[in-house]
Amino acid sequence: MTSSSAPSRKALSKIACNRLQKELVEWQVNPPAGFKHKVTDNLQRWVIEVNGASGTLYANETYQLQVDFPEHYPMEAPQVIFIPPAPQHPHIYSNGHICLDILYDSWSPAMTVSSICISILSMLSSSTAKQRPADNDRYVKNCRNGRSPKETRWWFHDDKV
Amino acid sequence: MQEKPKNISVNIVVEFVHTVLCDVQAFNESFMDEEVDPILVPAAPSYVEALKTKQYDKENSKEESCSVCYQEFLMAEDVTLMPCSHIFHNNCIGRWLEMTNTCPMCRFTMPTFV
Repeated sequence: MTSSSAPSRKALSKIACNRLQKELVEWQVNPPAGFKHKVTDNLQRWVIEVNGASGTLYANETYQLQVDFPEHYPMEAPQVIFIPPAPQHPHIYSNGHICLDILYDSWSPAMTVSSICISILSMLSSSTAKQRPADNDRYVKNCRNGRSPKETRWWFHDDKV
Repeated sequence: MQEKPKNISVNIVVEFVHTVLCDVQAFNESFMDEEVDPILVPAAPSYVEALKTKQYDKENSKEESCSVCYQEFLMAEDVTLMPCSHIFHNNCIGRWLEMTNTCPMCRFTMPTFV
């Protein structure tokens, strides 16, 4: 499922490559707490291990994020999904799609993989109930043909979790 | 003879409810399948062209690198100054403002087409 849901896999532009090399070096020097990136020779897809923060509902749990970069990163946001099984959270669908504004409408090129990771961990940490979004089944059914979450028209209505 | 019309009316009601439910589902699916409208709007080109540029001066700058490409600014390199005072490489901020009318650092809003 994950490979077909990747955005159209055009190679990274030179600008995108340079920027990602910078981010990779910065990550190696100063990785965000709770995250591990297994460096491969594929700069365009990062797979990152997330450890739930202690004292939260997701403590001692490990999940995997898949980050796919578009040709014109950082002018466009990367596609970020959890590789199923995704954590049970009111804004995370069982297919791994994440309802988080900075990944879509509120993206800014000043954001980085590291800052995205911190936002996602903060979203997990503030959760008070391990449950799926109310429309999980309908949404996941509509994504069966491998639709990217970037093609979804998201409605951001909850700033608490 | 009196039973028949009742059956017909029940059938009509069932058929009507079924049609309405199918319409709701079709509506939902067509909504989900729609192309995403561009929610982000470019800054008005006249305002982008009017942005001030200056030569990078390390002594008098808070920023050491451009927050779009993350490359360090070179001494005396041309940079664009946003109205909010954030500086970027001319090309970096130019490409972004062609898509979105906000400062990458603080979301200061530039005018769009009127």
